[in-house]
Amino acid sequence: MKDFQTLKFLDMFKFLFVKLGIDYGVMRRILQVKLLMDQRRVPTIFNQTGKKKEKDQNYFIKGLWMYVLYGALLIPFMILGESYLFQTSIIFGIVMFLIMTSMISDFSSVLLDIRDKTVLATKPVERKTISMAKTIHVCIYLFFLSGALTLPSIIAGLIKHGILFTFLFLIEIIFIDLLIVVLTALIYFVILKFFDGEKLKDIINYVQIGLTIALAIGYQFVARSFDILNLDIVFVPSWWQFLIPPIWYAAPFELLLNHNFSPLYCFIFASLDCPNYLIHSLYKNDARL
Amino acid sequence: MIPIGNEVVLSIKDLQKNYGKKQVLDGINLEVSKGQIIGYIGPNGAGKSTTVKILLGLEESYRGDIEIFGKRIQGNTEYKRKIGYVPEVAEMYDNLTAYEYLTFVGELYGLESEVVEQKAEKLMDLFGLSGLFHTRISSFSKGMRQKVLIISSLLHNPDLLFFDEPINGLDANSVMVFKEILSQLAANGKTVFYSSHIMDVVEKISSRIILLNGGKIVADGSFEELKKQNKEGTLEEIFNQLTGFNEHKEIAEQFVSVIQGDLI
Ligand SMILES: Nc1ncnc2c1ncn2[C@@H]1O[C@H](COP(=O)(O)OP(=O)(O)O)[C@@H](O)[C@H]1O
Ligand SMILES: [Mg+2]
Repeated sequence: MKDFQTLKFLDMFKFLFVKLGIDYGVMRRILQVKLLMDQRRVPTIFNQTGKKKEKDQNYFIKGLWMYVLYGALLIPFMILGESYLFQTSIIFGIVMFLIMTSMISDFSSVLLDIRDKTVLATKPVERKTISMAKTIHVCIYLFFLSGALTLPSIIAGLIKHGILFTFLFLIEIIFIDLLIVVLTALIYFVILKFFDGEKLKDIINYVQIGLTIALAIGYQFVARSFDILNLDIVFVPSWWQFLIPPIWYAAPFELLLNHNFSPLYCFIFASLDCPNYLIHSLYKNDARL
Repeated sequence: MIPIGNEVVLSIKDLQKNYGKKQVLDGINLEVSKGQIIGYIGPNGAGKSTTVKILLGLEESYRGDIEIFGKRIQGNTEYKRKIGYVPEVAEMYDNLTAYEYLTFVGELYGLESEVVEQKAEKLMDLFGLSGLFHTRISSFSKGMRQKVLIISSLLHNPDLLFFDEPINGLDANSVMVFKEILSQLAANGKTVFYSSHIMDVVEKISSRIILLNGGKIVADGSFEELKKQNKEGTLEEIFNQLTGFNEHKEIAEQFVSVIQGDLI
């Protein structure tokens, strides 16, 4: 059966999985089958009735250029000025929004396959191994999605702000992905906890709508955190900004690059701690995942 | 011939299961010995599939003790290595080809890829699916999918089989082949747990019939024993009697009159 570059890359970290007590061979096999099925999944926009192509082609990889295009729209925010907090929080806000919505809308059927229960859970495979396979599956998507989305801004940032900035930017993207994995898992976990497979599709639609509204409103808050009058961008710290993830991730730029040691910027630690906390509470009752 | 002893492969003690407030299983007690073919029957919604799902570890919130091959199943996955399962709903990765799906399943059971491949192709040929090994399952008919599921449950030569309505969609000839396979497997010391509502097949193949009604076992014994106890001819009639059902004519009449527009 077809092997994947992604999996060959993953092989380099085999020892890590083995250390965690995961049956790497089985996990790899599950991922291989999942990726193969993803290739055959035609996204709704490409779905031309009647035309049944037997040849595998990866619509996901092909669709990535769309995200690169979205990503290009972020370039102006990147090169606008030196107000890192404002610029990067806008960028992170948009990136998080786009990734979250596409994780929940386009990939929910992939990431939350109700057939998994009948196919995988009835086999002599440890639950741990299945959960890890699913997590890695999500991470693979996330890697490509966030890579495509941020590539243009990374290049622009490298040219405009230099290596240190870019390095920090990359690290922050990784943390953002971490938060998104955990949030996505949490959303699915909650959905699965209260509803069964059948109702899932409806629920996912509601979640999508809800998320869109929430993020649109949240976005207003991000923009309003800054007094943009007269193009004189001043950050006015207040308590509720702690609640806005993009600002957590933007804070280190201000702290490390503009040497702004206002105590408020310490809430970057919130960003590091939040996924951690969620993971722990999740794994404690991951009986259903 | 492998000698068939009284070895207990499956034991269920006081199994209770609720879905919300609804009690689906209300104290099931059952011991199944090696080599038996259990016909597990009951009206729609009696809890047959629920029982099987619990035994496979797919449902976790239940009360009672279940042991398979002498070990408690809770928190245990190892026993699944020797179990085959055909689910009631044909849920499978159907955008794979039969070859891809079957080798995958075989490998999950710990078999070598080449071994499963040969085995699977041969079984497909024998089951009337020759030439379809490299075709996507999504293009298969219901009966063909069912055959793939049956094959996938047998690849690893399991000792205990759970079949939940396995012959849905199978044509008459394939049903004959399937029935024969079951009795030969049982003769070779395999145990079969066969859940179905199709009475005449159950009547013919089962060495022991268990009738579930209202979440309880209301009859347990061989067909001959049930016949003696109930003075009825066929399993279907015994079924009607034990489930206290005798108004099929009246219901049918009302049904037809509603179809024709008399809203009483
Ligand atoms: N996931 C579920 N949630 C709520 N009720 C369920 C669920 N699965 C089954 N039931 C209920 O449990 C009862 C037994 O179902 P089942 O075991 O499928 O019956 P059958 O004997 O026909 O296989 C039915 O009344 C059904 O409505
Ligand atoms: Mg059923």
